[in-house]
This record gives sequence, C-alpha cells and structure tokens, in this order.
Amino acid sequence: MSIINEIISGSPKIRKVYKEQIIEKLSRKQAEEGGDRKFFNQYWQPFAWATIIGFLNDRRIPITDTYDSDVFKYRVINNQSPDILESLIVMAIGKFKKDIQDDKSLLYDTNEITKIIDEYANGGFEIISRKLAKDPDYFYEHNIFIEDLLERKP
Amino acid sequence: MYLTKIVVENFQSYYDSSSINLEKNLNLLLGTIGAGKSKLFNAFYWNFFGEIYKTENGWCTVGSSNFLAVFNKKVLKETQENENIKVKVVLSIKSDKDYTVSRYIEIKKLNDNDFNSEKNWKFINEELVVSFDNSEGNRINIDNHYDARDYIVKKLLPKEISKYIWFQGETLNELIDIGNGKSFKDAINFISYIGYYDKNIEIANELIDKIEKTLRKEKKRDTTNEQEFNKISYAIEDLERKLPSYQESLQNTTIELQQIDKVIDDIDKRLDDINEFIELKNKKEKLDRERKYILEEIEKFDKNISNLFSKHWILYATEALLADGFEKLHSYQKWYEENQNNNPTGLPYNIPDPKYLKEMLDNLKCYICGEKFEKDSKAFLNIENRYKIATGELEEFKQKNKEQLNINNKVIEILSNQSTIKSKVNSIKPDIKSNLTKNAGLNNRKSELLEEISKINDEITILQEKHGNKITANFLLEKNKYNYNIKERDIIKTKIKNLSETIYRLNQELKRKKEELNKIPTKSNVEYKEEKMLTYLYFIQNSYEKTKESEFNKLISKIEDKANDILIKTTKANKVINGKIYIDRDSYIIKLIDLDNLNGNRDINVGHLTLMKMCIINAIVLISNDYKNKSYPFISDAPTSDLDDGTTKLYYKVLDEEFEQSIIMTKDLFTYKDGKNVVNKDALKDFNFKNVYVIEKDGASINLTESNSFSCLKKII
Repeated sequence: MSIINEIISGSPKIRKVYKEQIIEKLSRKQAEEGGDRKFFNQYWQPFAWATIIGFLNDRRIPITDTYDSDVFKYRVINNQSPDILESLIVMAIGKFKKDIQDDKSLLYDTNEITKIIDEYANGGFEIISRKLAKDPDYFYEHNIFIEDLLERKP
Repeated sequence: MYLTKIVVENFQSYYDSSSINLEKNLNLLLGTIGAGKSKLFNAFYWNFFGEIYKTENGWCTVGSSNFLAVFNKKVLKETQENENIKVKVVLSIKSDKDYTVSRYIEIKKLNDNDFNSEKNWKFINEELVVSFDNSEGNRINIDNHYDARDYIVKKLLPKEISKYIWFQGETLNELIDIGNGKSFKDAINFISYIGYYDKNIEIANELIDKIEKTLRKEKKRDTTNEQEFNKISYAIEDLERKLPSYQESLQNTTIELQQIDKVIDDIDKRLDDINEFIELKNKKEKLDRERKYILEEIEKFDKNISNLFSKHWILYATEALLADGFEKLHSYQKWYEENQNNNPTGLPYNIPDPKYLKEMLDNLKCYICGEKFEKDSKAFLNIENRYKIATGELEEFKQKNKEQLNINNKVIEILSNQSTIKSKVNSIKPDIKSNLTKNAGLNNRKSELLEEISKINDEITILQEKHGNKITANFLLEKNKYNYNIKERDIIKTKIKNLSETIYRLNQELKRKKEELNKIPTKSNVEYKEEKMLTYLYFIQNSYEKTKESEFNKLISKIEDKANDILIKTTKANKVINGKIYIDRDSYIIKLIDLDNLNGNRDINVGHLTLMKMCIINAIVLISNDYKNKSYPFISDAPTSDLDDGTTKLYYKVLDEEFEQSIIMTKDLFTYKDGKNVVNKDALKDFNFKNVYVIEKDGASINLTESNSFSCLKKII
C-alpha cells in the first residue's frame, strides 16, 4: 500500500483547545453566516498552515491532553491539494532521527509520519495561540497572513 | 488694514461664544459641506453691513425683521419663556488705529411655541458700535446706529468696493456681471478719477445748454432774418424737447435689457446647473457601477487569496525542510539499489537449482566443475550452505528483500513528485508578488473611486441645496423661459438700435440746425461773449471726454495686466490656459485671447471663466489698494469651487503673497480617508500654508440637526 493511501484513511490528532480557539476562529464552515471575515475556507487549511509553522520553527510538542481525531481526514487535504499533503509527509520524513535504511520500521507503516505531523502541528498551533493571546484580533486583517508568511527566512 | 480677531456668539451655526485670532497674510478656514464656513462668512459680513447671504435668497438684510435668520437654533430652542438672548459678532481691526466693531441683536422669547417662528419672539434691540482710541488716547464709542454704519462705509470699508473685498463665491456672476455690471462700474469709478470726469462733462453740458439758450435769445434780437431765425429756433427747441424723452426711453430700454440679460443669465446658470446635475448623476452611476465591479473583484480576490495561501503559498520558505526529507528518501533509494541482490553466498540464490545441490551433496561431487570433494570439506559445507539457503533460509531472505522493495516503492512514490513540489515552492514568491500588485491596484482604484464619488456627492448636495431635491423637474419650464426671454431680448435690442439711431439722427439734425442758425447774419455784426464762452466750454467738454476715455483705457489695461499676472501664477500647475484675459472696452465682456492674436476669442469653460473673473476681482482690489494707498483684507467664501486642486492651491499662494491679509473659507484641502473627510495636511505642508483653522460640526452623536449641533473652530496650523 502506498504511503499516501495509508495516510488518507486516517485523521490528524488536534488538541481540542486549538480546534476551538484557532481552527474554528479562523475558518468558516460552509454557508456560515457572517463568516466573511474568516480567512480560511476549510478546517484542513489552518492545520496545514500551523504544521508548517511548527516545522519552520522546529517546534514539536507531543499531544498529552485531550485531542480530537475527528476534525477532518487527511483525504480532504489530498483531494484539495495533494502537493501540500506530500510536502507535509516529506517534511515529516526529514525530521526522522535515523536514516530509513537503518530503521526501516519508520516507513513500514505511516504511524511515525502522522505522529510527527500531528506534533509539529501542535507546536505551530502553540505559536499561533501565543500571538492570539497577545492580540485576539491579530489575524483580523487578512494581510497579516501574507505579511507573516513573507517574514519567514528561507 | 487687517482683522485681528472675530468673536461670534450664538450666530447661526455657532453656539455660545467662539473666537479665532486672525493673522496677516493668508488665513485658511477649512470646513466640509455644512460645517459652518458660509455662516462664519456671514458673521463677518453681518457685523459690518447688517446683511447675510442665503443661497436661496441672495443677500438679505437682518434687523428688526428677519432677525431669527442670524440666531443659533440650539440657543433658540433652549431659551426659556420670557428669557432674553443675544446674537453678537465682534471684529477687531488694525488700521491707522485699533478699531472694534460690535453688532448685536437682542430678542425675548414670548412663549414655548415654535421657536422658528418670529411671532413667538419679541425684537428688543439692535446695536452697532464702532470703538477706537483718539489721538489723546481716549476711547471713542460711536454708538449711534446710523453714525456707526456711516463710519464703517466711509472710513473703514468703502461701499463701492466692499462687495469685491467681501466676496461670496456664489455671487461671482453678480460681481463681474459682464455686459451691464453696475457694480463693476462703481468699482472702476472708485479706484480712478473716471467718476469725476463724468461729473465734469455733465457740468460742461449743462453750461453749454444754458449759454446756447442765452445766446439764441441775444441773437434773436440782433438777427437780420427774424422769420428764418424763429423757424430754425423753434426747430432746435423742438429737437431739444424731443431728445430727452428719446434718451430717457433709451436709458429705460437699456435698463430693461440689463434686467432681461440678468434673467437670461440666471436661467442659463440654472440650466447649466441642471445639466451639470444630470452629468454628475450619470458620472456617479458610472462610478458606482465600477465601484461595485471593483468590490466584487476584491471579494473574489480575497477568496482566491485564501485558496492560494492554503494550497500553495504556505510552502513559502520550506525548501530546506523539504530538502531534508528528500535527502533521506534518496539516501534510502541509493542504499536499496546497492544492496537489493546481496545474499549470504554472494551468488544468485536460485542457481543451481536446490535438487541438483542435493544430488551433489549425496554424490560428493560438484556438477559445475566436475571435481569430487570430501564430506564436511570446505566445498561440501559451501554447497550445503547453498542448499540450506535455497530451501529454508532462502524464504527468509526473500521475505526481507520484499520488505525493502516495499519501502523502496514507497520512497519512489514520494520522490516521483519531487520536481513538481520543488517548482511549486520556487513559484511562490513571484506568484505572491503578482497577486499583491493586483490587489494593491484594486484597492487603490477602490480608494480613488470612493474619493471621486464623495466629491461628486458633495457637488450634487450643493446643487440640491441650491435648487431643491427635484432639481431636474423644471428643466422644460426653464428651457421655455429661456427661449422666451431670448426672443424678448432680441426685440429690446432692436428697440435700442432704433432709439440710438433716432437719437443720433436728432443730434445730427440739432447740430445742423444750430449751424444754420449761426449762419444767419446779425445786424450789429459783433462777437457775443457767450460765443467765446461756448468755444472754451466745447474745448473743456472735449478734453474731459478724451481724458476720460484715455484714463478708462489705461485702467482697464492695468486691471488686465494685474489679472493676467495672477492668471499666470495660478495656472502654473497645468498648461491648459495659454492665453490672456482681455476686457472688451464697450461691453465689459471678458475674453480669453491667444497670446499672439489679439482678435482671438477662445472657448472657455466654467472653470476658466471662474478663474478669470476671480483674477479680475483680485486685480480690482489690489489696484484699489494702490490707488488709495490703503490695504483691505480680502475675505471670501468658496471662491475656488469650480477649480482643480493644483490651481486652487496656487491661487491661495497668490492671495498669500499679494494681499496684506486674506481670509478664505473653503471645502478644498480635504481628502477622503477611511470613510471620512480629513484635512490633507501634506498639501498644507507642500504650500507652506500658515494660519489654518478647521471648522467642524459638534453636538449630538447621531442624527445631527440644526438645533442639537453647532460649529467649532480649531486652529490646526
């Protein structure tokens, strides 16, 4: 079975607190009234954004408290943007502590990859939540998403 | 002379007491529509002349009647029954002395009924006082209303030029009422000696008339042909009787022509306003459509940005992270390729077949080289090992190799997309740049449109305030009135032409008859003293007429030169007007002529004409200052509403440089930002404007009305 096919049958684990405070705050549900000010259209989008922020800041935090594993399936990411899902997988592989040939269990199944993605997403959410704690309207103006993006150092 | 302070108390939109100090040079009083600019202009004008300007009625006198027009509505509302209130304006003036001009009206509230009705109020008193220190240092108060009024128009602001000094933008056409302008003529008489020449010519004519009559009487007694003398004398007297009635008729018809010209001008202006209103409405609709389109585009763009961001741009700056992952995958792939066929024997695991290996072990002979070997020898153990692998351990090896292959397949799956992902990441930066440029373009256009729509709305509001909301309803009626008056004017012009011809013919006839009379010989044949006197008087009359004509031409040339000087300075911002102002000496019509072609008469639009008229007004005031060796402040409300931004600012610069003091109330120099009009401070800095005040409405936080709001004055520079 291919990695993608294995992964898309599963769902990410997301801390409930981040689901409520970040994902729901920043993305509108379909046909949501008054959701025009929300930047993201779907729940997977802030998750992917947070994961990459986690990777870029090398912020990996294991999920220890209550989480929700039913927010969306990885399949949704693959349907909407397969390149983003593959990129997340590649970035997760880049974070393997050993080479694959030295620990083939890393790719026997996708548990390690999804665990890494979930934990870096958790780290990214923590960074975002700190910004929101300082200023709840930090992401009110949509330009800020782009400005934050352009501040990243390649 | 310049003003140093104005204090307004309960005057029109100004509640309670407000004041500002005024400086020399340009004082700009900025206010958006309805802030209270024209009300402040009225405060200046009312203080001096007891009149205010209303868009719908023109100039109105305010005194024992019409007094509510100057009172603040809020104070009218708040006043209790039987309580007295005052409206007051005090101006401080620096001239040869320090003057104060104070005017107030006091009224009493009779009952709590409608405070907007004069019948519910009692007029108590109006007071006008001019105060100054005399040469001994004693304070003199001229508090008799009529004396104070006379003092103002004779000593402080001459009546003849006051309307040019205190200039309401809306009355521009009245001031430079080209073609019949009595006010223009008054101003010309005031700033020159032309009026004196007219008076002298009138005196000479009267004397000539009297002396001619006396001479005729003398000669009648001395004539050699009494019958012929009498006949011609009667004819002369008949002509002299007829001429004044024709002249009076010509004068009346000329006044009629002036009146009908004014009516036509008014209708023309209203028709212009209606056409302008329709054009503005059409322009606004077009801009509204574009605005709607831009807003839709921005909305589409925002949605698209969200998708681009989530599906593409979030990978920005992830090259290193992706490279780490791809490196791990490539590393595995390399290892796999190097190790995929390795087995413990170093040979292919299926050659030879296990059944032959069993036979070799049983027969102790190698089928490949044909050599025999001993049991447990190196060759035996080797073949035995190969046999074990080929049977049991081979399965384990096979299994292991299959797992590595499986992993390798996974690695290949991911790596197959490496170049796509890499190029996608590389394209993020240019993609963001092009989208942000597009977004900035849309938002800039949105701001421009909002500003343009706001300006058009202001212009529409001005026209609606002037003509009411149903501005276009009277279009046909006005058009018919216009056509009717044009026909009437043609009839009057023909009448004037006929009258002028008749008067000319009668004058020629009179001249001929007088010559005929003089040709009849006298008995005494002496020269009468009246004849000598008449020779001198004819000379004086002729000299005055020629001098007057020369002085008039010189003055008009001087006004043209000064006006053209101002025109050049104010049109530096654009190169549209490349001509010069020319005033027709007979009709007072203002023309824009080419610099090198005196006969040219170029087409001019409202903006050009307004600017040209203002240049002439300023020229008149400046030349007046020169002639009288005095300076008067130039005070104007909305003088530049027909001009573009650059010309407006340059015009202010000219006022700043040319006048000892100018006070301008204007809605220019505002810019639309974040949903409201704010002062364009950059423009103020660019032109180094000093003494800038803002007039703002304050009061109830919502639903401002005349009786719950009031104007505030703030100095900002």
